[in-house]
Parts: sequence; structure tokens; C-alpha cells
Amino acid sequence: MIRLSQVGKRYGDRDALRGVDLELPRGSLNFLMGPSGAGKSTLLRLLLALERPDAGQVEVAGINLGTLPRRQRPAYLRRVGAVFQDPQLLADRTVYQNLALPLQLAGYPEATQGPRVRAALGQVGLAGAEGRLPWALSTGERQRVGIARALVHRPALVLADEPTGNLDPALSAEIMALFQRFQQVGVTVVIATHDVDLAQRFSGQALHLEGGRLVGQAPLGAAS
Amino acid sequence: MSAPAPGEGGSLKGLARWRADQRYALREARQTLRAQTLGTALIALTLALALLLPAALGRVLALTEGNLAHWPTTPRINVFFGSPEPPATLLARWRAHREIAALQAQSSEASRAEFRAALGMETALSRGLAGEAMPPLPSVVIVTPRPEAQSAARLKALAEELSREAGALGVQVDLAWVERLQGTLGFFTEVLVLFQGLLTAAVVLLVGALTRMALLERLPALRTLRLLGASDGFLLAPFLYQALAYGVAGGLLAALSLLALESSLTPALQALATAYALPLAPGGSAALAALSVLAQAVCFAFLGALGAGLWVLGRFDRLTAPSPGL
Ligand SMILES: Nc1ncnc2c1ncn2[C@@H]1O[C@H](COP(=O)(O)OP(=O)(O)OP(=O)(O)O)[C@@H](O)[C@H]1O
Ligand SMILES: [Mg+2]
Repeated sequence: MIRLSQVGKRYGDRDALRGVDLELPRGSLNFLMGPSGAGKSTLLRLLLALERPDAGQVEVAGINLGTLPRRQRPAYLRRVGAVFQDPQLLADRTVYQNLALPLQLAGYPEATQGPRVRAALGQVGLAGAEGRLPWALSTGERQRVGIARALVHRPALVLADEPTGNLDPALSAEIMALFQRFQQVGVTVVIATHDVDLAQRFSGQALHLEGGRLVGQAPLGAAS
Repeated sequence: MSAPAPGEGGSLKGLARWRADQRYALREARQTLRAQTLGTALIALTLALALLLPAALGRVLALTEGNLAHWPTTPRINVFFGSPEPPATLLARWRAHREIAALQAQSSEASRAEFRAALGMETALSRGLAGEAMPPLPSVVIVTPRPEAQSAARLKALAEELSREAGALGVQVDLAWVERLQGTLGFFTEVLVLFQGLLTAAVVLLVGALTRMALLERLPALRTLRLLGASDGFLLAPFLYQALAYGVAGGLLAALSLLALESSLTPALQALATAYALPLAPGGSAALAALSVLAQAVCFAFLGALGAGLWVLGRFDRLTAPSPGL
């Protein structure tokens, strides 16, 4: 599903990523870990085709993202679900309208959008919040709406940057379990997180980044 | 709920999908317009004014030019002779002249009768001036040139040629007022073109500036939409529909005003024409002019919005700062 070979990314004279070789099979659950500034977010941005690598190749589902023409980027993005560090909800649109957006973009008929939005809200523990506006939600609730938006259109690849950063331990575990359920139906999931203990409770693999290098790749607790 | 395979997306493809996206964009545009009714009305009014001015001037010109063709504007050359009758040999020669369409000879006596009739027989003045004591009036040949010889320059040349005939006292060309009118119309046509150009630019710029402002205001939302995979067309569509709405509203307003103006002016023109015993021909179709104003409004508004949209999209990455993290 995902193949990185000798990927490098520079910002000015700093290497955010250096010589990263990586292969993630379809339907795998992957936790990106490492200290602040290690390059976790940079790797996710490359996988979302928001930036191009300066060296090496980034390939997702057979698509070379380094040479993906700009015009084809929207079609690629529609197949990916991204959980952003700041959930970036449309401030003047209801939770329902925010969640219907990926469905509209992915070509779901209007009549089928309602049930999917409600199901996704239920999955993140926000059933009944359809009519609320983002400013009337707590930070954690907003983050969960952001997670629901990344999953509602059933993407083939889910990328998440600190998705549980603003959630309490119980909710964090629930959200991680949700990601795992998606992984179990064949979705490839890549999550950047600092929460080693939480990741340990899931069967997936840990990818350790340090100073832009991939320094370790190991199966996680529940799997070993 | 039947779950599609991951990454498969919805069932809408091709045209159905395009139509679903247009419905979405229309709904967005309607929502925005409804949220700013007063602003929309003001914009429509401004567009209508900008379009109405040149359109109304254009109608006046069309009416004038249309009627000018029906009014007796054919220039004539009067050639005067001292003899009681114009020389017959000359008349025969002139009838064969290739620049002359018609001739009308008038004897000195007929000229006097005409003059008397013009003054009115009853007045003391006419009796004094056109009585038996009046000196003989010259006889005259009224020459109508062929249409192709009616330009000012050729008319003058012909008049000069005729004046050189033996016995001719002088010539007079009935031309001045035609020239003046044609000059005035030409001037107004130039003004109209200039006016139209300026106001067209104003409409395009106005809608463009408004669209640009609206886009910049929604930049964060547009950025999010882009991250979710919205194409440029999807991003711009609501704004283009909004501009089309401005164009339709402004254009309709201008078109209806034009029709109202015309229907209120026509009786007055009719009365004027009747007073001078001139036929009043409609100068083209008013409905067509109104339709053209509407079409112009819609096109220019769309162009303005499209320009603004491309401007913003072309600078999108520079206008939006990337957020840290993903
Ligand atoms: N747009 C940018 N311009 C310049 N430097 C950048 C940019 N983005 C990231 N960097 C640098 O690249 C390195 C990796 O950043 P990145 O955001 O990937 O780290 P991270 O692992 O996500 O850290 P954190 O855990 O704090 O989110 C850092 O040194 C950072 O300063
Ligand atoms: Mg980060």
C-alpha cells in the first residue's frame, strides 16, 4: 500500500527526513513515534501529497506522489482520510454539514449522506450533535468531529496526527479502538502519537523516527 | 447500510456527480445571498445603473438613425438661371448625366408663386414683397443626385460642375443640416462606444473585486475544502453562481428599466413626429436591446468572478500559511 524509498525532505538547511525506507502493507495499523521534531508530521504530509519529497520516492497504492500532477491531487485526497492536529472544521457550518463534505466530495448521493454522518458521529461518541456548530463544542469534541470526518467516507488510507492529543485516557482508547476496527476491514492506518502506553495496547507496529531517520520498526504489545 | 470497500467512494459518477456538485454549489450560493439580501440588492442596483446608461444612449441613437433613413434627408442641388425658363438643351443633357437621379425645372413664374404661397397671400408683407412690383425671381432646376453621389465631397464637386454651365447664376446645396446631424450622430456613437467600454470594465471589475473579497474572507474554509479533496471547480462554483445571480438581478433590472423608459418616451416621440409630419419608425427592437443588456450583465459578472477566482487560486499557497503538523 505504502512504499517509501530513500525519502528525504529538507526545510532550508535542516533535514526533516533523511533516507527513510519503509513498506506498509494494506490493512496495517502503524504508530509513528519519536520525539518532537523527529519528522512525524513531515512524513504524514508527504503521504497526503501536501508536499513533495526532495529525495527518494513516496508511493501510495501505486501512485508516485512525488510526481503526482497538481490536477490529480484532489482525486487522491478524496480517497484518504486525514485527521489534522487542528481539526480545521468549517466554523460557520454545523457538525452535520462538516461531516457531509467528504461524502459530497467522494460522490455519495445526498440521500445516503444522512445515515453515514449519523453512524460516524455515533462511532466517536457524539450521537445527536448533528445540528451543533463547532464553537459550541469542547476541544475534545471538535477533535472527535475531525476524526469522524476522516472516516465517514470510508477512505482506503487514514492518516492521523496526534488524534488523541486533547482526549482523556478513556476516550483516547476508544478512538484508537475505532481506528483498529477500520484497519480490520482493510484500511491502512498511520497514526503519529506520543502516547507509547496507549499504542502498546494495540496490535500494530511502531515506527520510531529520530532526527528525520527511521531508527526502529517493531510490532506492538498486543501482537507480541 | 451497505458498506463500500474502503477507498471506493460514492456511487455517483460522471454527469450525475457533476450535477450533484452543482446542486451543492447552488445551495451554498443561495445561503450566502440570503444572508446578505441588502448587499445583493445594492450590487444588483449598481450593475443595473452601469448597464442602463449606455443601453439607453444606444437606444436613442438607434431610434434617431433608424428614423433618419425615413426622413427626407436626400440632399438636393438648386441651380438658378436668369432666364424665365431653364435652358431646355441643358435639361436634356443633365437628364443623361450619370450622377443625376432626377431633375425638376421650375420657371421664374412658378418660383414666384411658390414664394407667395410660402409667405401667405393675405399678409401685407407678401403683397408688398411678392406683388407685381416684385423683381423677377430666377428660374431654377432642382437636381437630385444619385445615391452613390450623395457624399459631401461628391455633392460639392457636382454642384461646382453644374454652376459652370452657361447661364447659371449660382448653385445652392441643401446639405448643411444633414452634415451636422450625421456629425452629431457620429460623435454620439463614439461616446457610446467609450461609455460602453468604461462601464463594461466597471461591471467586470466590480463583480471581480466583490468575488475576490468573498474568496479571501473564506480562505481558511477553502483551505480545509482543498485538504479534503475539493477541486478548483468545486471551490469556485458557489462564487460563480453568486456572481451569476448578481448578473441576472442587475441585468433584469436594467432590461426592465430600458423597456419602461422606451415605452414612456415613445408617445412623446410619436407626438413630435406627427407634429412635423414625419414617419416614426421603430429603431430596432426594444425587446432585443433589453435581452442584450441582460446577456451582457450575466456574461460580464461571470467573467469578473472567474477572473477573481483564478487570481485567488493562483496565489492560494502564498495567501494561506501552512499550519504546523498535519
Ligand atoms: N514548514 C517548515 N519549515 C521549516 N521547518 C519545518 C517545517 N515543518 C517542519 N519543519 C522542521 O522539520 C522538523 C520535523 O518537523 P515535524 O513537524 O515533522 O516534527 P514532529 O515529529 O511532527 O514533531 P511534533 O511531535 O512536535 O509534532 C522539525 O525540526 C521542524 O522544525
Ligand atoms: Mg507533529
